[in-house]
Amino acid sequence: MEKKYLLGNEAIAQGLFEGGVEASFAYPGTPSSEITEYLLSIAKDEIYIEWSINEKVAFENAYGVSLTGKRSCVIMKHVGLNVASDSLLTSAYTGIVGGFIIVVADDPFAHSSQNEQDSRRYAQFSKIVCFEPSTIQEAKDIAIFSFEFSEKFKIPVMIRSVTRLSHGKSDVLIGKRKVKNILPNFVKNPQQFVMVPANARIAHEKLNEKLKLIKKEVEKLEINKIDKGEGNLGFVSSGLTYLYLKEYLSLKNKFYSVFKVSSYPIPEKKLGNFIKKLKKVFVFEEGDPVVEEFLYFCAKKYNPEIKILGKISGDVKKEGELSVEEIEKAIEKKKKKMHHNIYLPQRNPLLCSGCSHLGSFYILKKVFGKNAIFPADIGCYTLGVRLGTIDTCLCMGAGISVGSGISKFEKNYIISIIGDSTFFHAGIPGLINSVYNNSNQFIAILDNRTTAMTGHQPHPGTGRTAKGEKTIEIDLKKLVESCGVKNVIEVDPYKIKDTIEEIKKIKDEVGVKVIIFKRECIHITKKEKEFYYYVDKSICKKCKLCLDIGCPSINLINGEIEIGILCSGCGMCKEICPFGAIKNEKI
Amino acid sequence: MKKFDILICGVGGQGIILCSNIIGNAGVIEKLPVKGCEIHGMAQRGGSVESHIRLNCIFGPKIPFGNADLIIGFEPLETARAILYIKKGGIVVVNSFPIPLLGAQYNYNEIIEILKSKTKNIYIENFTSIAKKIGSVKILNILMLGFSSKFIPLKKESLISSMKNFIPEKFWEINLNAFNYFSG
Ligand SMILES: Cc1ncc(C[n+]2csc(CCOP(=O)(O)OP(=O)(O)O)c2C)c(N)n1
Ligand code: SF4
Ligand code: SF4
Repeated sequence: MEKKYLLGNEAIAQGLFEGGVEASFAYPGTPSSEITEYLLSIAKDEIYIEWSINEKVAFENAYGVSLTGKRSCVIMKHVGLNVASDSLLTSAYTGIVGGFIIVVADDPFAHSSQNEQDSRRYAQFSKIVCFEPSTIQEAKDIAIFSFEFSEKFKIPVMIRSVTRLSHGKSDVLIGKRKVKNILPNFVKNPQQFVMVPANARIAHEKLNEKLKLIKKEVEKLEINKIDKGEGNLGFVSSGLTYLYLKEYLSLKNKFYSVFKVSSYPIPEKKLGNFIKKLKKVFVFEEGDPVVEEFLYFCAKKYNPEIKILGKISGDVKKEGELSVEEIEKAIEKKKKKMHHNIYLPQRNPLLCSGCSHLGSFYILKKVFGKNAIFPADIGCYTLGVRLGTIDTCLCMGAGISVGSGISKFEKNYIISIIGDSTFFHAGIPGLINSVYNNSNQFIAILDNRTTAMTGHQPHPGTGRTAKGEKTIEIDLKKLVESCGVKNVIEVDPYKIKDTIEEIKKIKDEVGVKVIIFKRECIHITKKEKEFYYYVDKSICKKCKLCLDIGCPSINLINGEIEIGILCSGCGMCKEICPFGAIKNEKI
Repeated sequence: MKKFDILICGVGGQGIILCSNIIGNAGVIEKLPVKGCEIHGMAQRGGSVESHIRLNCIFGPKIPFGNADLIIGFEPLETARAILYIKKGGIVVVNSFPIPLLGAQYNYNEIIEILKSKTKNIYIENFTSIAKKIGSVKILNILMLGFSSKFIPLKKESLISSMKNFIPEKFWEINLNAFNYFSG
């Protein structure tokens, strides 16, 4: 069989593909986005693939496909599951028809997220099944197997990944795609699919019966495995921590027994028998102490004397992510030096040179002044926190509603900041609510024609689908107007002076005012850079006003204003300079 | 062959991921188990990038501190940041050309001293200026890969055939020149 060097996410996609998925739905989010992107690259013609407007909508679409008997999946990052949770919890009650997989990528250490929540909690909470791969090969194999499992028990199956698995790489065996040859057939069954109270109560009972069978089944699964070793100290691990642990033990030439947990529900008997002969057990897992809590439950029945060491006991840190080093620290109680003797400045992510958001922020600060409040949202523009135009960031869509709440008491100007993709995702209800309930605020939609932060995926405002096909482009201005907003203006953040004047005209209107800043993200414009920008040193008075734009390409270096090679030629700094010292030449 | 851990580090946009994929795939061509991972903060907007490649490895994607056999550093400050990964006697190849950091100061000479204090097997070279001289900064990654290839326990042919899988044919010549620059 052929082997490929794949990203964890690519391996998951390959598994979904081989497992016969016929439709895939997702909203982008790091570290999950490459799953959909890889599916698009290998199976554009064989699978229905879409970027949905948000995770809830994606989930419901995938559920709908499953009701026709076809295999489907929905893919998201951990916080996406919060958005889809309403659908998730009741989908467990109704059960499904065609295999239905929910792929969720958690982000311990919050590498690129607003929190470190653990999706296994959702699996438990909603009473579905969750598989957690320990290796990238296993991630692919589990994706295939999950379809069978889901169909056998008619239950949604979650695959939990984490950043290091999703963005890890490995040699992976490539297999053939197997698609079940069935005709789509939605069978009406109101008792199962219409969750009115009378049906819900019965469905809950059925779900609990199902879980009993599932608990028996997981005892037999080989992915929950035991590596036999010596001594009365043992280890329990889940996910990638299994490999970290194995590497640690190999580095130290130790041969202890290791239990690898890969399914939730966790096999109680198998784990119970494992801890029976032990005096002490260490638990390693990414996220919350889910396995560890279950161990306490198991210990009561199987070995009440055993000492359990993990996050609950305080032996393993509760936040961030684990590694070989962290495991060593926990076991050996040694403080290992993991830092430098000298200060190495961080290279923080910045808005790109010529990013349209820089212009929008500059303009808003100029018009509304220092005391303005900027409730904001999540996207590239959140990096504007350095520029003072981001005052809150909670979750997608929150900015507008938080702003609305603040406006009920604060009398300063309130300008809620939201990106175009985020506006479609979760901003629209907040806007309508704000209009309906007479809030007094500005809403700035930063329409850079893409979902930039997560890798430039299209969205309903772009007129393109995931597969690059043309589709109806939702007109933001018309949409906002139809929500009852009287003052809506569309402006260009590159045209700084004009835009400032435009906004001043509506500055003191009451009610909800919407400013749409429309300008493509520099990474999706097809145009080559037309002008080369430079500072004419004979004119420059070193007033440094041009630095206010916050562009990383214009800096004070050794007492002179210099424009760097990454300048994208947007011209914003040229517009700001009061002396005409910034010039351009056609390339 | 024993396990061989390689760490590549630098700044977003320097072509590090491509370089790492070429090595990883070359390992797969030689039928070795290969692991690896990418580490970059939010959205790669000019932030630090770190890529791990573990040849003949059956463990996790990330190299533990003090275990890297080879570090290929595309930028001095980033190499200093990653130096905790080097094992005793490991090899460090570093590009001496610094990429400035907005609003922060650091002492370049001090950084080179730190690197030197960690290992004797260190090769410091202004690869960026060589890349510009023989074509463009875009081939920096292949130039550094070519230089480092003598330390990597993979056949040159595997690296080259892997490279051809990733790079469009019209750029083969310029990249092959860069790859062979130091051995030619
Ligand atoms: C519920 C949820 N889904 C996905 C994400 C990941 N994510 C962060 S920002 C963002 C979208 C950013 O797009 P946009 O609003 O257009 O701003 P831009 O990055 O283009 O400036 C996404 C998908 C998230 N944080 N939360
Ligand atoms: S990717 Fe686009 S939106 Fe994001 S910072 Fe760069 S230019 Fe701005
Ligand atoms: S023109 Fe000025 S503001 Fe625009 S990218 Fe270049 S340096 Fe930055």
